[in-house]
Amino acid sequence: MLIDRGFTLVRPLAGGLDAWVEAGFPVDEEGVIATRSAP
Amino acid sequence: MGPLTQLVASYGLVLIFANVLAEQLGLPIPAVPTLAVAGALAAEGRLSPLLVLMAAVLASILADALWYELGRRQGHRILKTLCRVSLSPDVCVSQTERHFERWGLASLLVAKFVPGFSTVAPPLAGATRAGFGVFLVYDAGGALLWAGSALAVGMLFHKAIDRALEALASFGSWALVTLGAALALFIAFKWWRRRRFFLALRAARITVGDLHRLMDEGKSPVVLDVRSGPARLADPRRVPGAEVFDVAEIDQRLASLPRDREIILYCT
Repeated sequence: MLIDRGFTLVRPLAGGLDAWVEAGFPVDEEGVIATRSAP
Repeated sequence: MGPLTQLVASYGLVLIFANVLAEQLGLPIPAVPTLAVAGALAAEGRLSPLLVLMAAVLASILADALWYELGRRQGHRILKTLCRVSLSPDVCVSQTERHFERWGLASLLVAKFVPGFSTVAPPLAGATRAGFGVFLVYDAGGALLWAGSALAVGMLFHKAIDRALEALASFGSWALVTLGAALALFIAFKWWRRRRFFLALRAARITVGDLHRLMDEGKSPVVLDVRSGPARLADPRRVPGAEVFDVAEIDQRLASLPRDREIILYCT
């Protein structure tokens, strides 16, 4: 939808939030930044 | 008597039950033509419309209850799986979630009339922990409306349906071949569109590792969390710095999005 509106630098994240969490990268939760870092 | 008419007349309720059950479980075997033919036969007194309606509603509720239970046990993961196997993944989960978020369980009343919504709405109801009793009431209402409409159309237009089926019957066994070929073509077209969608998606997407690297390098892409409200409630975690982005409000948000920076979107 963004591309249809002229945005060219748009990419979906492969695997979404689940993949981000599974990779062990940090997450924010309700405005609080989690401290778990990437392996 | 046409082949479909003959099938419906001979196996009647069993065929209708099996057809509706298969469709509602997610197989690409449309039940509306069978229900319409059953309606035409009912108009001529060869089938009981009440029994046909009961068979269709029962099969529909059975399939939906199974999907509801899967949704309740597996949460939003079942939606992801459904989207992966769906023949219309581009309209699958996100649109369904928006319908569901807006109308709640009442959306089940019309779910069967909306392509893609029919199979996804029951597991979504389970995933959002809607009460089974209330789910059953709305689901049965939706099934009654859907099957009743198809039957009513068949009863109203029974003469036209008879003529169409007689024309098909004049082709003899070729009629069945033609129907089968039309169904196969329909599935092949949907499958081709699905494959094209996934290929385009695969070519364009960014991996979590690359996004993390971009952030570490200070390139600060704009990260948008495009999950629906229920999905965000079920899992309140976010990629650091991600903004919640409601796709329904896309036009109001356009001005705040930069065109010279990379925009990364993610769902669950």
